[in-house]
Amino acid sequence: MTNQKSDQGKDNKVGIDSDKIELDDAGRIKELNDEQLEKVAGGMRPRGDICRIQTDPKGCSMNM
Amino acid sequence: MSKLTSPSRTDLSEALSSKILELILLPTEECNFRCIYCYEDHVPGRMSNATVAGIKRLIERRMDDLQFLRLSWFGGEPLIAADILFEIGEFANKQCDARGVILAGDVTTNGFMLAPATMSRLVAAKHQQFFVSLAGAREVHDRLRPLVSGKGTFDRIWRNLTELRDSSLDFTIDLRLHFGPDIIPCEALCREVNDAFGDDGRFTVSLQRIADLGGANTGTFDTVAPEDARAIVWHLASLLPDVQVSNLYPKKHPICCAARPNNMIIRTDGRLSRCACQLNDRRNFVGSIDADGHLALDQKQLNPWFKGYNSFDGNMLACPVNTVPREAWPEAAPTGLIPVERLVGQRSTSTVVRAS
Repeated sequence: MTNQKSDQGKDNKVGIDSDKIELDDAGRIKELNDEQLEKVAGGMRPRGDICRIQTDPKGCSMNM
Repeated sequence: MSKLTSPSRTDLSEALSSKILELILLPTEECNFRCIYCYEDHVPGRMSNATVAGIKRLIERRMDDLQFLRLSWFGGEPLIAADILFEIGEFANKQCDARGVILAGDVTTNGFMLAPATMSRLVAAKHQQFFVSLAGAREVHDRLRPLVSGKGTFDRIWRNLTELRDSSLDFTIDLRLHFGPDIIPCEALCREVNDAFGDDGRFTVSLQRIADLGGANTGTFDTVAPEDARAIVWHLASLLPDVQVSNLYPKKHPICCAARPNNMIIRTDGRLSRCACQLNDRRNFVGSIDADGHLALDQKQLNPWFKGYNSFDGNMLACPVNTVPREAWPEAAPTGLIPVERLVGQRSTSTVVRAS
C-alpha cells in the first residue's frame, strides 16, 4: 500500500497509492489500519486536540 | 518548476484516520438570499426523511470506531431547514455523549436567521462554531447580499450579531468580511466590526476577496486578483486592532476537505460529493447514502480526489478539483440521471439517482 518516494526532497516522505484508498459502506478507510497509518504518516498520531479541525467548506483555497 | 510542498505529517495522519469523521451536510440547497456573486443554483427542496434517517444511522454505525465527529452545516442557507439541524445535531450529541466521542458542529450561514434562541439550541448540541458573511457597510452589503425579494439584509444580521454578543452563550462566530476592488465599503465595515465586537473574544474576522466561482452572474462583476488580495487583507486587518483576524497567517499547506477521505458532503437528495465550491460538476458525484446509513460509493469517481497522496503534493491536496481529470467522468449531465450501475453496491430500491 505504501511506496517510498526518493525524489521528495530532504525529508524523503512516503506516498500512498491513491487508487488503493478505498472506503467501506460506512465511510471507513479500508486497509489503512493503525499500523499502516503510523508507517505512512511518519509515526504521528492524530493530536489530542482534534477539536481544532475546521472543515469550513467556504474557507477553502479557491475562495482566497 | 514549482516548489514542492507537503502538509505536515500530523495533518496527513488526521486526514487519513478512520477515527475521525467529518460530514458536510446540506439540509437544503435553497437560499433566502440572492448574493450577486453566489455560485450556487438554489435548487428547491429540503433533505428528505430518508436521507435524514440515513445520516443518523450512519452516525450510529460509526460510534464504535470514532474518536471525533464533526458536523458542518452548509447549503443553500442551512437555517431555512433548522429543524433538520436540530434533529441530526441533537441525535449526534446524545450518541457521542453516551459513547465518549468528541462532537463539534459548525454552521456556515448568512446570519439572517441566527437569532439567540436558535443559537442557544445549537450550542446545547455542541454546535458552537459559526461562519457569517458580510460584504461591506450597510448600503453595499444590501446591494450585494439582498433577500430574494431584493430587500436589504444588513440590519437584521447586525441585530442578530449584537444580540448574540450581549448573550452569555458559548460560541465562536467568524465574520467573513468580503471585499471587491473597491475596498472603501469593507474599510468602513472593518471599523464598525472593531467597534462593536472588538472586546468580545468569541468574534473573529476572516477577510476574503469576492471570487467569481460561476453561477447566474458569473463574469458580470469585478474581483480582486488573488495575487493582490494579500496586501488588501493586511491593510484591512490594520483597521481591526481589537479583533483576531483568523486568516492573516493562512495555513501553509492545508488539506482541503475534498481531499480528506474521512470527509464527505451529503446533499439534500442523499448524493455524496467532494467539493463544496463545484456542486454541479459531474466529477463531484461519488455515490449516495441510503436510509439505512449505507454508503454506495463509486471508487472510480472517488479516487481521483485522493491523487495528492501519491506524493503528498501540497498543491493537489489543497485544491484537488483543479487536478481531477474531466474526461474520467460519466456522461450524465448534472441535470440528468446517474445510472445506478455507477453507484457500486447501491442498496437503494430505486434504479436511478436523480441529479436535480
